[in-house]
Amino acid sequence: MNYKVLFFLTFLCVSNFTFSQNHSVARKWNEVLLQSIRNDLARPTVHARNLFHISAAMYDAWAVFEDKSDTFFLNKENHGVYIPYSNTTFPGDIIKNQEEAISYAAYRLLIHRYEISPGYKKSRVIIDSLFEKLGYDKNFLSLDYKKGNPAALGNYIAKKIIDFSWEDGSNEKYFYTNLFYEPINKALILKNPGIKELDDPNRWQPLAFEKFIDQSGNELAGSVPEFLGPEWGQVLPFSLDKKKIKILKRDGYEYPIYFDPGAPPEFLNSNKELNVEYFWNHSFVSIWGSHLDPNDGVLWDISPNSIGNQNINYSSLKIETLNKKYNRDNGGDNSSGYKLNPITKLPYKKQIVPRGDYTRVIAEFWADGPDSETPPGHWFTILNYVSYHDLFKRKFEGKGNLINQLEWDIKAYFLLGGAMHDAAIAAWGLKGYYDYIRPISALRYMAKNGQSSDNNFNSYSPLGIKLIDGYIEIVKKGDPLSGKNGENIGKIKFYSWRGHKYINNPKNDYAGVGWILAENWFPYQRPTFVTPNFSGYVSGHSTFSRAAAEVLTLLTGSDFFPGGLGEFVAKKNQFLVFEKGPSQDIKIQWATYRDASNQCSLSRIWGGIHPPVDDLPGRIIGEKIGINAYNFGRKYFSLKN
Amino acid sequence: MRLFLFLHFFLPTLFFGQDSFSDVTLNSGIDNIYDVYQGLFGGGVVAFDYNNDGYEDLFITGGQGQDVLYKNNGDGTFTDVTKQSGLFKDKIIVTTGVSSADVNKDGHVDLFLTTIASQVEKSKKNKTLSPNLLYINNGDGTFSDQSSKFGIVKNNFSTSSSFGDINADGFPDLFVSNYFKNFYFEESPFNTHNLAILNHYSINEEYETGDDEIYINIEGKYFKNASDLLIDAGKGYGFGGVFTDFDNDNDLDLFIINDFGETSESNRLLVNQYPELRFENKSRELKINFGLKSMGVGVGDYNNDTFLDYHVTNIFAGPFIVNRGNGLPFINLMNNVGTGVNKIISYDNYEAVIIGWGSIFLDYDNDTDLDLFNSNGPINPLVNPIPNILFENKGRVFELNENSGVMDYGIARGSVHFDYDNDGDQDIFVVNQRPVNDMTHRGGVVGSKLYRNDSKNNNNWLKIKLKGNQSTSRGLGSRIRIVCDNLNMIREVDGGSSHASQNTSIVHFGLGENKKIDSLIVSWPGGKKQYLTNIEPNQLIQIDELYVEEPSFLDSIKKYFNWN
Repeated sequence: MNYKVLFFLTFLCVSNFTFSQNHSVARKWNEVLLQSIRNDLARPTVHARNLFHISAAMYDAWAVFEDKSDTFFLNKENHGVYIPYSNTTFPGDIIKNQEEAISYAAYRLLIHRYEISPGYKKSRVIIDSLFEKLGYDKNFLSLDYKKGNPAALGNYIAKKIIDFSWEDGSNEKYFYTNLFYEPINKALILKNPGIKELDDPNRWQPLAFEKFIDQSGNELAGSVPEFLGPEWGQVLPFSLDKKKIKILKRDGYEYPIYFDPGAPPEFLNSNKELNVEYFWNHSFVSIWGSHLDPNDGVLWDISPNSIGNQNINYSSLKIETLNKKYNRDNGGDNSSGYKLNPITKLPYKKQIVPRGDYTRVIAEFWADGPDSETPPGHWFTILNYVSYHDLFKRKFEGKGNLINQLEWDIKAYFLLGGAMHDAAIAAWGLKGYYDYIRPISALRYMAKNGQSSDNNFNSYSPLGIKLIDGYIEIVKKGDPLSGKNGENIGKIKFYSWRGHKYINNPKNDYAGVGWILAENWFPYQRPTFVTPNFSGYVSGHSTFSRAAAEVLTLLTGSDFFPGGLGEFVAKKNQFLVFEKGPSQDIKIQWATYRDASNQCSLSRIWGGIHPPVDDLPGRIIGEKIGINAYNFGRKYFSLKN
Repeated sequence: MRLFLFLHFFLPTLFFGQDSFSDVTLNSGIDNIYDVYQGLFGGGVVAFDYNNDGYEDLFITGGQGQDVLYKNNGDGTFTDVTKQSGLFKDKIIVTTGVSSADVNKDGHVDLFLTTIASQVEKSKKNKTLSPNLLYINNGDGTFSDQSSKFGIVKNNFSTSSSFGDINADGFPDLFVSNYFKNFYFEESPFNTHNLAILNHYSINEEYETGDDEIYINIEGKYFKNASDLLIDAGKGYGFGGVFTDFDNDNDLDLFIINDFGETSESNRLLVNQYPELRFENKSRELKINFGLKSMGVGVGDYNNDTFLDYHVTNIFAGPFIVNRGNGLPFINLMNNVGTGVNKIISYDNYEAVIIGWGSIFLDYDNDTDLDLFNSNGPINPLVNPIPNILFENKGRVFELNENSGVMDYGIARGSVHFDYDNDGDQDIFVVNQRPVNDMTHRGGVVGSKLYRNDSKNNNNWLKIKLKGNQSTSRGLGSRIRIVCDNLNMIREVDGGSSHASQNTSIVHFGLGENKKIDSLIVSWPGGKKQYLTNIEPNQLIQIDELYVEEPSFLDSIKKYFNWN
């Protein structure tokens, strides 16, 4: 997500990082955490866990002083680990004490979690700078809170959470590296066209970058990023029910699964021919790639007047069901939009823009890759946007009295953090177990095999891709793609986004849409990123986003953004990062939190990294997790007395 | 003007502080450079006390030049005593690596030198493969070549060697790492078989890999070739091996590292099946079979979890191999712990690719965690200087020490840590090669370097010298563990490591602010243990191995059934 042009500015640049006077101390620490995430590697699993633990630490540091709300870690047993706490009287002003305990807990935990980050030096500057601005003492290390010292309480909470989570299955001790998972397939070498070999077209394939720029800006020669988080299903969750775990075995290793949507479509059908379900899903992604041209003359109303209010329930993941949910040829879903804004009771103002601008802008907005706060962090920024919105009233679940900013932020972070942590565990458990292939590998592989539509025609193979007029065809004699000596005749071509080869200067050029050889197909992503380094099934974006949308809905007591409308502006010719665009200012708009979540899900298809079959089950699992985590967490707010 | 001068004078110390190490080569009287036609192989260095005077001396291989024995005078200076010690070569023998052990257990430490070639005859230029050299220390300041008497007769292209008592009989056994199987120095019609033009192609396409060797020491009288113990290990372009107890079962396993492991045999970990005399190759299961241009290996428990970890040098950063213990596979945390530095700014702002040779774990700042030193050097003659690197252990990650004082532009190969001035911190010696090309415009010629540790802190330390009786004289391969409060630290006595070199056999622990060592446990190879408690820091202690009578067969049976 590129914030430079968004009208609510968070501060990307370290030197400009400032803390708003209006923000609660919890929000201030949350902003520091989000910035530390941006400085780190794009690892959603790790950051979801950090968001949860730091939010929970702040929650406990606050709840100790409260009459109703009870602590989550302190004086509680979690996963068999009891963290002692003796009731203590803390003299002095409660709010001051809460702020102090929150700050020491957040400070210690942030340093512990990010001292192994490649961007630690940058992050440490802002972590220290906030702590010092708040007037606290870095050298105060005591854990002895029993004398009534809130700083020691903060230190104690951080220490106990660090100890607890050292053994939580995340493998933090060994830097979250994989301890048993190994990819079945050899890497796809991105500088070469096509795909050289693929041992198993159902399994994830690593990508080999010629040049890889790590998060600290270090350029590494030849790099094959490992699968991020295939063993994350083992991590101890927030609210997920351990009684419902299914242990599935693959390649001799065990994968705990909380929600199992069943296996994604396999490459072969029972006749050992290309399975149309597999083909349909992956080719869907190259077809949606043809919607990424702002000059194709297609204009859409992208306001909630026309988009939103989608029903995500599905009966099966077969083509006939998915066809009713997604519009393959024109793009988008079958949602109806809203006749009226229920808050203003007025119709939503139409916003007619080129489809190719809308699709590219949301693909970028929800990219959440390098330099971003990753999907779980992105939803914290949306939460912060809502919590500090002018039209927003801080009433818990939309009912009762207004609560103060600190209480609101503390509770909201705790609930959203728990949900994001659970979403990562559930989604990555499936990613590790199913180890499902990404579109770039599947598409190039099917195309390499030839075509399976016409056995009287050249390039026929029962394992080849299906031809679709206008989208997937064969290069024939006289085709501009046929090559100098006709070397490409018989190859498969796609009508899709044309790829980075057509972009020399990202400020001036955009690739546009046209016919390209299938072997040169790329997803609409940064050339240094291409596709996230983990398997596709189920979509992490869909799981995180839907879970977060459910939490925001329940927490605010409303489906709708404040005023019935959430908005972000993507500035003309500034917002996109690896090609020129958008061709005009684009306002991303959502009526409800779920609309934002659904848009995020679709953007991953346009972004070329998830077929529909990755997406829908992620949304359904996210919905369950969001509701479950919310109800589990909110109990703590009324446990005392 | 005055102000300017004043500032100029003080700025460096004000802003850059004191370097961790100082180059004291010049004042120490050491003037050395390793000489070879071409820069892949050697040289090596051993830190050992050849005359038992309590000061560690240095023996440095010379390649086609002279090998040198430097006697440590105890006052910060060294004297070249090669001639009087009988170690002077009177014909060209191209030596590469060196390791030391008291082979015959007479209390005087002997030397083993690997060679790649020698003159056929003194008068002729022709060279041929030649046997390695065993120099027995006569105990009177002289050595004598007893290679053939001890059975060291095979003509080999050897790069390095290590000693370790693999059968725990108290006599140090020997591993020899061989690079090529054969080398045709003068037979090629177009002189292509010339070390000076070796390159990837000629190495991989024209030469077979060498057969590594193991020799069992038979009661200090001779070495019996037992290389069939390595039958499971495959054949690689051998650059070395280290005897190390990776699985804490009190026997010495063997970690072999090979060059060009991507295309030929990769690194190998052979698990000692003691008391059976057999090794099992567990490299694949333990995920330590890295195929790289491995040139050196360092051994040390960097995270104080009592399992030894390993670092392998390479072209670009080498793997940082973390031991999780309990039979679990190793994991490479190179990209996580901060040692994965692939390029470094070098002479004239040139960005040099790291080419690492020596790898040493040492606690240079006595703060209880092991830091990592790598001696780096370019392929010679294609010389673009590469500085050495010192990584400081910051707890969970390492940080490059920018003010280490060791980042010179020598063509470094072997390196060792030892305490030449007996002040309780570890100093470093690095062997540098003589550049083949003119270096006038590339930083000049840099000889071998003695770096004195000048870290200024009040941290405590402890040094331990083992004196074996039933075990080898210096307890090579023994494990020493100390406990201070919650801190457990282990060291292994080095019997030869990297590159082609051997560190001090006096074990060193940095203790930080700990003022007392609660307990100390020595595990001699084979499993015999000795305990000490309540030890004061900041001293060198010698631990004599307690003599335990071999139980008779009857006693063993009694003990087994608890009859008394």
